[in-house]
Amino acid sequence: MSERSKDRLADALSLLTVVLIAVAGGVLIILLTSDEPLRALNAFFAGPFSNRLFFGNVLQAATPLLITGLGLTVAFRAGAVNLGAQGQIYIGALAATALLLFAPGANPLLLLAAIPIAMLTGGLFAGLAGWLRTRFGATEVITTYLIGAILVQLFDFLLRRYLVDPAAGFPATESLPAALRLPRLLLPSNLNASFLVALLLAGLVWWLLYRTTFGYELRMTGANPHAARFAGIPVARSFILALAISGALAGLAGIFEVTGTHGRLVTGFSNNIGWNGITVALIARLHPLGVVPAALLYGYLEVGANSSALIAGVSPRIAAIIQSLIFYLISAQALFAFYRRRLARRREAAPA
Amino acid sequence: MHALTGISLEVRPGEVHAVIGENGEGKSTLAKIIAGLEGFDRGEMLLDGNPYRPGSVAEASQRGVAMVHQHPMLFDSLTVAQNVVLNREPRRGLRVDGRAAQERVAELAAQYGLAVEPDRPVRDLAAGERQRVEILKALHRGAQLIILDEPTTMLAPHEVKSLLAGVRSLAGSGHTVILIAHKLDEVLEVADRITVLRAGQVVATVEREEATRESLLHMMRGETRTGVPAAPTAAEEQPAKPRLVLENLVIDDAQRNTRIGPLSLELRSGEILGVHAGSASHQELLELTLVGLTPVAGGVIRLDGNDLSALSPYERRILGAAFVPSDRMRRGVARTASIHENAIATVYRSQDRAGFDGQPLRDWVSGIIRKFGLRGARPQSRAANLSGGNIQRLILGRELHGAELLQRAQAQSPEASTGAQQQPPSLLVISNPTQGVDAGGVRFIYDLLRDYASRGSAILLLTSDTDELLELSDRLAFLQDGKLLGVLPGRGVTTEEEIAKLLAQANTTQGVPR
Repeated sequence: MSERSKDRLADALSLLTVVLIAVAGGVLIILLTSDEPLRALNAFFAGPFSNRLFFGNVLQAATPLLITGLGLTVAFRAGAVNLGAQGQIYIGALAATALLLFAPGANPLLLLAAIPIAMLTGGLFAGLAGWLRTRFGATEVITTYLIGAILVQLFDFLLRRYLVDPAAGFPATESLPAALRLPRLLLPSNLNASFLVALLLAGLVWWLLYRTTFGYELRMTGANPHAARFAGIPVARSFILALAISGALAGLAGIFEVTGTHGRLVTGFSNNIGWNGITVALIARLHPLGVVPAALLYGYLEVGANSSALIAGVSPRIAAIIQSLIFYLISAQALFAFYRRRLARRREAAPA
Repeated sequence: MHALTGISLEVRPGEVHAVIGENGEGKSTLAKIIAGLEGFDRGEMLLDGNPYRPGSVAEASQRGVAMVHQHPMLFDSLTVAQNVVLNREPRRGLRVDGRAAQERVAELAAQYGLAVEPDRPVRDLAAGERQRVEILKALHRGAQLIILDEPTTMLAPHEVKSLLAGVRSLAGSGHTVILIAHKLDEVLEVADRITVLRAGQVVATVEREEATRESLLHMMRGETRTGVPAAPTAAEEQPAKPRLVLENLVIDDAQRNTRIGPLSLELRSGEILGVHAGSASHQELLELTLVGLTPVAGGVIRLDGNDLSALSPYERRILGAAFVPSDRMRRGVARTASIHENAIATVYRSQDRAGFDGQPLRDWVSGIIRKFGLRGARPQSRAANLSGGNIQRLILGRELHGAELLQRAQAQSPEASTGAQQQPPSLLVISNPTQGVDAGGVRFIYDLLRDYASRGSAILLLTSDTDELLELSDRLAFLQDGKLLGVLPGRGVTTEEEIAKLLAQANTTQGVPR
């Protein structure tokens, strides 16, 4: 076995361990809190496959994570960390929904305008953080997070102040007319056309990263920005564009949630997609095609928890607990890998 | 092929035994074998009469053998004392006794005349002090036999003196020293006996009193090479027009708190100009300015008449310039990227139609792997799998062939020029070309540089290694604190003493303690 395939095997095993530990944690909590633990476990693991509704919802829950995770993969590949996807989802969705609400008529073609607007808005704010980094050296780890935090508040403020439908009884806009919504699939589940778009995007992002010159520049920038700059690769451009792409895809996930799942803008609709997207990208080991199964795993956990809540009265928060466990374990793992690499680099830098 | 064959060497207790030879003749391999870093196939070693075949440095250390490397391996953020006692700390209860460590180091330093300040962080130390710290570390661990591998290579001339005095006092107190060296004056000053290696074999072992500079040179070079002066390069035969012109160049890097200039230099076609920048940070700044990553604060840089100041690294390379960075792990390669991806990083933009991964570039990369001796390297494997020497070959290949490819692509735009004469780079800026490179690699690189110079490239060699400067340069330029001290004629004319004098003079006139 070659060195590389050995590394891959070890990597896969460690991933599997992380997921198993997290799921075991979830099982433990179900066992401790449920009156009928066996029914609850059965509902958790088998539930998502038991009918069209649940299965469709698995795919649907995976969709925004898949799209956001793909964007974050692009950013990570260029060495950029985007901790503001949450804000970019909201602001992109807000800008695009405002257009849908205020434009006269309910022409489905409006969707074709709304989608680019969501992407542009999300992309601009993420790209801004990239520009701040390349121009002033302000680290994007902080700026994406801070700008994102502001955007989340701004979203809530604008929604409550200008877009809210008083009849709704909580901060949400009017429902969009059917013509402005995405085509539904696998009724009665929430699945819609955005899932198919997300699958296409996975292929597209793979092609962009590994088959285009732009993707090459982007990966070299991420692999070693100092060497890339010395060789004459446009590092700043790659960095900013990679962040902009991650923001654009976050915005896209946002408008898809509005026009596909919720049918309107609702406060807190993103439900941690921006953060879970990071974990999904890390589980996928930053490979665009790996993001598909990683996002599906998350969707499965989500629906499994709902199903066991419905059938056996366990808290639906189980999904969040398992996801958080995975998040912490994966982050810790990524951190260790990072320090190991740094140590190894230092050791090599010292001549023998 | 063997690095060493049939070596017999006897080192007496309490002597300074020098092992000399030219670059790549097997000195370092011999040192590594004794220090437990490398094994050997046949024969035996005895230490104090007992069989000795160390499998590791730790094992050698247990037997009282330690090696001091050319580039000391110390922790920058720790103090001198902390570095010396590392892993063998004096303890008080569970805690490290910091004061006892300092006292111990001060005591050792005084005993052997190796001046250090125990509580200074190592990052503030000059190369000579680092060397002394490394020697103290070996002494603290109870080493009886100390191997010094080319200890003076990285030292300023005044540091060499104090190091050699330290070596004598080691021997005076009963330690045995093996000194790997190739500078005859140093060897003649300090050694009791001298063993000469050539082509992996012992030529002779002689007493210091019996040896002269000439006899040693004769043994090192062998019959065939005596009296043959280095081949004259193009620069000596015909004065060419200047290719690279620096005119009142000023560089001001506030971040690094480093300033250079005003600096004026000219570099001709076929000439190798060696530049001793005075410090690593000045050298790096010069290197970054020439490639186009640090802006020029004043003056001009012209290459074949083109003003480079406002051009990007890519635009400079299109003009035929090539750049090899000093820190090749940081600026040379992306280790997680493949060899192919690293090799094409300077030229991929010229290949619009075939793309970064197309057949033309694949063939081009195979050419580099072949011509630059990257034996067994697969284009798709990671650069991290390459040794330091091979990474340097990869970068050299990329830069030298890249300059040709870019110039050809440039020339092709108006009309296709198939089968045109391969054009060497107009300018090659190369920094620390052989640091951490194996002996075979050093020879390869030296030959390569001479070859490209003879084909008309102007080569700017940045290095602090005075041997390298003397070996390669047609002219030598010395900077100190960013100012030009002077330009001396190169190979065969200037001696190390003259360099030492120039540097010492600068020290006294400026009164800057170093």
